[in-house]
Order: sequence, then C-alpha cells, then structure tokens
Amino acid sequence: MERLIFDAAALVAIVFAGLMVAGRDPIKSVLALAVSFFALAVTYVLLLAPFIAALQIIVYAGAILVLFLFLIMLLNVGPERPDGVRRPVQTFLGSLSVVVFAGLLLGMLRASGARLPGQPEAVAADALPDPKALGRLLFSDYLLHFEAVSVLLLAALVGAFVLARRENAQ
Amino acid sequence: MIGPIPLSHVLLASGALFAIGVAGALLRRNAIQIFLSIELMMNAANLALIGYGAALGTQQGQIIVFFVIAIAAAEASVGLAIFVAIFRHTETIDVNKINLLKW
Amino acid sequence: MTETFVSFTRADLAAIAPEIALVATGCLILLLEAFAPRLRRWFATVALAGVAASLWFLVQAPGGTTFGGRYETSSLTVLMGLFLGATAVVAILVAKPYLERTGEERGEFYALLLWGHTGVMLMTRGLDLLIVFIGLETLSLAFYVLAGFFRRVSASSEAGLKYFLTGAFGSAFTLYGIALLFGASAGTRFEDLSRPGLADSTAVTFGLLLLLVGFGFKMSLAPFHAWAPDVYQGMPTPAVAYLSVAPKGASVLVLFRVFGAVFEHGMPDRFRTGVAALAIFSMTLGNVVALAQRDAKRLLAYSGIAQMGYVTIALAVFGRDALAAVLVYFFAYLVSNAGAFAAVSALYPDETKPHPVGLLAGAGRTAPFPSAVLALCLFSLAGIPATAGFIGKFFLFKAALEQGLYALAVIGVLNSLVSIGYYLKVVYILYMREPIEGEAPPPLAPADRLALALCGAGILILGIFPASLWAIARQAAATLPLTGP
Repeated sequence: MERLIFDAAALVAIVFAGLMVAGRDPIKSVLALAVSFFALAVTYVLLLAPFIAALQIIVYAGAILVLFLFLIMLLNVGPERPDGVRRPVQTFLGSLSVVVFAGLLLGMLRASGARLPGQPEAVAADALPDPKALGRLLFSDYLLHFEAVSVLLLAALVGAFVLARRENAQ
Repeated sequence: MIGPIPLSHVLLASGALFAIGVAGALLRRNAIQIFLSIELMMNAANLALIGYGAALGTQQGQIIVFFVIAIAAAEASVGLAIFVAIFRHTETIDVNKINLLKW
Repeated sequence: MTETFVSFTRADLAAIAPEIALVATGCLILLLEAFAPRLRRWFATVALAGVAASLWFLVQAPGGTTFGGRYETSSLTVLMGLFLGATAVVAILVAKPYLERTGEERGEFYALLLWGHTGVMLMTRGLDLLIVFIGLETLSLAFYVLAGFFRRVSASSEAGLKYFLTGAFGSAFTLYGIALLFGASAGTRFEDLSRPGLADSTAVTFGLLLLLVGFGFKMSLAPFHAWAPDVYQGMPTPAVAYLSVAPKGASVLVLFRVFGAVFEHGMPDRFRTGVAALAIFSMTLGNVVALAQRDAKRLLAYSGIAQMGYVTIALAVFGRDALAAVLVYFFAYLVSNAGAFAAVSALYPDETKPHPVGLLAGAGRTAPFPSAVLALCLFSLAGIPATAGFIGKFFLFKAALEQGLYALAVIGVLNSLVSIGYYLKVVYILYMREPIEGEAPPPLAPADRLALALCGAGILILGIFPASLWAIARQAAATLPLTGP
C-alpha cells in the first residue's frame, strides 16, 4: 500500500514538473511546481520525514512559490511568446546534453541503488520520526552549520535590500 | 528497502526530477522559469537525501535537507530581488528581452 | 531534567574567532552606514581592520580540529587564510577610490565583501561537505548582489542576473553530488568518505563528477565558463578582483580534500583522464578566445579561464607536491591577477562604461605607475621568468613531469606560449601607441597606489625568492592525507 502511494505521488511530482518546464505561462508553471512540491511532501511523509514534509509545504510551497507568484503578478509577466528566432544549433545541443545527462543519471542511480553499503533490511528504530532527536542533532553535530547559515541569511537579507530598494532613497 | 518502499524507486524519481530540472534550466529562455527549474533540481537532491537517510537509518539526511531549504529560501529572496532590479532597469516586464548569452 | 546538549567549548570559539571578527565588522559597517553615514570615508579602514583582526585570530587559533572533527585549523588553513585575507585587502584597497569615483560608496559593499569572505573561509576550513556547501552559498549570495551593485548601470544588473542563474545552476549540481556522496558514505564529513570500497562505486564517481561540475562553475573552468566574461565586464572591478582569485583557490582546495578522502590509494586512471581533458580544454579555449578580446576585463576573464586550466593539471597530477604547487600558484595568481584588476580599476576614468583595451593607448606615459604594474602583472600571468607567475607554472609543470604526465605538461607550456601573444599586445598598446586626446586616466588615489605597490612587490619578491614560500607550501600540503610524492 505504502509503495503504491509512494509511486503515485512520485509520478504526480514528475508529471507536474514536466508541465512546469513545458508551459509557456509563468503563472501556470509556478502552480504546476506547487503541485509537484505537494506530491514531494507526500513522499517525504512515506520516507519517515514528516517534519521535512511540513517544512516543504510551509517554506517551499507556502513561502517561496507564493513569492514567485507575487513577483510575476507585480511585474505583470505574460506568457512567453515565440520570438520568431529559431536557434536550431542551441536547441539541438541543449536537448542532446539533457538526454545524455538524463540517461547517465538514471542508469547510474538504477545500478547503484541495489548495492548501498550497510543498507538495512528494515527501518532502524532511531530513524523513526522524532523531531526531538532532529533538534538534538541540529544543535550538537550540526551547530557550526547552524551558525554558518545565520551568516548566509544575513547576507541574503542585506543583499535583497541593496538590490531592490529605490534609487532615490538616499 | 525503506519499509515497503524500495530505495531504487526513490532514486529513480529523484533522478527523473533532476533531469527535468536540468532540461528546463538549459532550454527555457525565461529567467523565472529557469530559476523554477533550478528549484526543482534542488528538490530532486532533497528527495535523494531523504531517501538515502531513511535507507541508512540516520536522520542526517533530514538535517541536510533542513539546511538546503533555508539556503533555497535565501537564494529565492536574492534572486527575486535581482529580477526586480533588472526589470526596473530595462523598463520592460518581458523577461524574454533580456539577452542571456547562454552558450 | 535539564540536559545541556549544545556543546560549545572555548576551543570552538577560538577556532571560529576569525569568522566572527569578519561577520562582526560587516555588521558594524552596516550600522555605521545606517546611523553615521558621515563616517563613510573610514569604512574601508574599518573593513581592513576587520580583515587584519581575523588574520590575527587565525594565526593565534590552536591547531587541530573542532566542532566534532568538522572544522580544521592547521598550517594549511592558515596559509589559505593568509591568501584569502591578502586578496580581501587588495579588493578593499581598490574599492575605496573606485567607489568614491563612481559616487556609490556605501557600507553594504564592504559588508557583503566581508560576509562573502567569511563564506570562502568556511569553504577552506570545513571538513564537512555541508559546511563547504553553506560557505559556497554564502559567498555566492554575497557576490550575486555585488555583481548587480551598480543598479543604474544596465551591464551591472545583467551581470547580476547572469551570475545568479549560472551560479544557482552550478550549486544545484554541487548539491546533487553531495546527496550521492552522502548516500554512499552515510555522513557528510570528509573522513566518512574514506571508507573502503567507495572509490570503486559508480555512485561515488558520479557524485565526484557532479561536484567537479559544480565547482567548475565557480572556478570558471571551461566548459562551465560562459558566465565569466559577461559577469566580469559588468561587475564592479574591486569585487572582480576578489571573485576572480579567492573562491577559485578555495574551490581547488575543496576538490583536493574530497578527492584525497575518496582516492586514498591514488586516483583511478579513468578519472584522471577526465580531469586532464578538462584541464586541456580549459587552457586551450581560454587562451585562443582571449586572443580575440578587445575589452580589458573580458580579456582577463578568458585569461582566468586558461589559468584555471593550468591549475586543473595539478588536480590530475594529484599528490602532495601537486597541492604545494597549487598553493604557490595561487599566491602568484593573487598578486598578478588581483594586481591586474587593480591597475584596470586605476586606469579607466569612467567605471560605468566598457573597458576597451584601445583606451589604454599611451597610458605608459600619462599614468606611468599603474601602467608599469599592469605590464608586470601581465608578464607574470604569461609566465615570464623572474616573475611570480613563472614560479607558479614551474612547480605545476614540474609536478606533472614527475608524475609522468608529459603530454599535459607539454600542452601547458605550449598554451603559455600562445598566451604571451595577447598579454604582450596590451603591453604594446600601453607603451607604443600615442595617447588619445581627452581620455586621460583618473588621478591615482593613495589606496590604489598602495594596492598596486603591494602586488608589484609581491610579483617580484615571489619571482626572485620563491624558496621559502615553496617550503611553507610543502609543509602545509603535508597536513592533507594525500598519496604520492
């Protein structure tokens, strides 16, 4: 049953990701990606990561994609129109590199999935959903990362302010 | 096996999403859709991380994803500010007119 | 029951004191900008003091690893820290007169530069893939903004957009590589990667390739270089002086650390062939395309692509001597490349316009000092003897020959010969052409003079007395568990 739900959710994520890439209207692309992210959240729950699933919905779908929608509407970006300029060489090279890359990646993942070192038969007990253990890990082994990310967020905050504030603010 | 879910399914789904993201980033000419494709690539990596973490019986995969989500949010804020700056500048809202020298 | 699980010791504090000093200085400048904007002309001095304090803390920090084996303080990280700090000093010195001339002197520039510098420090000192990734992203976010800092100038905004899209694209590759390596090693620390059997696994090889692609974007290694010329052209020159040197050195060190952890018993031949092909492609493409460039900053961008090709030779050679050669090479690259950008910044009157090489005609007479330093830097980049660049290339090619990679060394030398063509062309324009009426270089500011003097002196000192740096670099390289000579 879980396997079935996982496969269905993964399929939904992939199909809507494809729609996102193929669509010409940026708003539809964002909405398709939101569906894809919701489906990914379902897979996270099944993969014993309910906390990350919640974050996925709150931060990714809730904050980041809504920000995108807001920006598209603010700037009034319409659907992409074919500009009449064909770029056959670039399209060919791009498609070729993508096909080669996709083939390599899928083949490699398929080959390596079976022989993971130390792969357990069943789910280990300490991997069961436990936000407490997650928090403990975050503030012990990953303390330095936590501090480093604060610098990153500060830089992003100031950077976004520098770029987006009005020129005559001085 | 992660419970009843085989790891290979997780990795295949993740690989497919990553490849779709790469395709979008390379073939689209619209800055917003390129960035959405890049977000998709990062999500594909997140799925692989969580799948590996569950299969290995460690929560470190989730911790990495936790940080990646924070980084992605920061990146989105800077990216959207850059989009606003360039739209304000070129006085066009048509992203296609920004001449990205991609190749 | 209260239980303390946050373990933060005095040793941890001493280890990250250099980074804390940088972040705090950035915050201080930002607060001064907000509440005491009249102190603007002292911001550069404050930033320099911050870098100096950070270097002092770095030298003082006790050696060893902290944060559970995730952060390193060793002679290697101190040497890298000195390299990065020196780059930041040159960038700040160049930034002050540059920003004054353009009327854009704002504290945010220095703050973002310092925070980006913090990210690069994390990259060089972290023994954990996730730390490296966070450092890389901190650097990238700060420099996306610095690329688009001149919002009035269309080229600058476009540089910001291009750098952002390619940078984020590259980061996604790095992240997927980290995911694959995590899956194989069940951890994020480099030491987890040295578990037996990993070197033969397909997933690990693919993860390493993805990391190589991701860092290739940061190093502007061909074929991941397409952003560099456009971004260099539109970005404020002092930020380019930092971006074109420091992150590249840090990226190479990270690749050395990761490869060193996985390939404990030497690099497999298939992998070495791939890296060597990347090196040859980058050298050749950079040098050939640079021959056709007319803009000084684009020319230096393509020259940088070629120079990263030379550095990648060391990655293919792989061993203790190769790492020592890379360290020496990057000190030489710092004085030559950052010096060249400092000279470009001092020689062009209007920063918001393109920088055609033809505008430098006769600058040897109208602005003798910056022109002389620019010529010296270009000689050094070309690898003419008695300059730092010659020493860097000498040790690199020597390491390749000792490892038996003759073809790689020969192609490197041939490429150096090609590169002399476009470097000398600039020198010819500087000294042999008549000055253009009404296009005089701006008056030389004291900070520019200092930066140029430091770089020029560095080129000559390294070029004539390289022995002590080589000894220090060899000793520093010994801290990495690398196989080979």
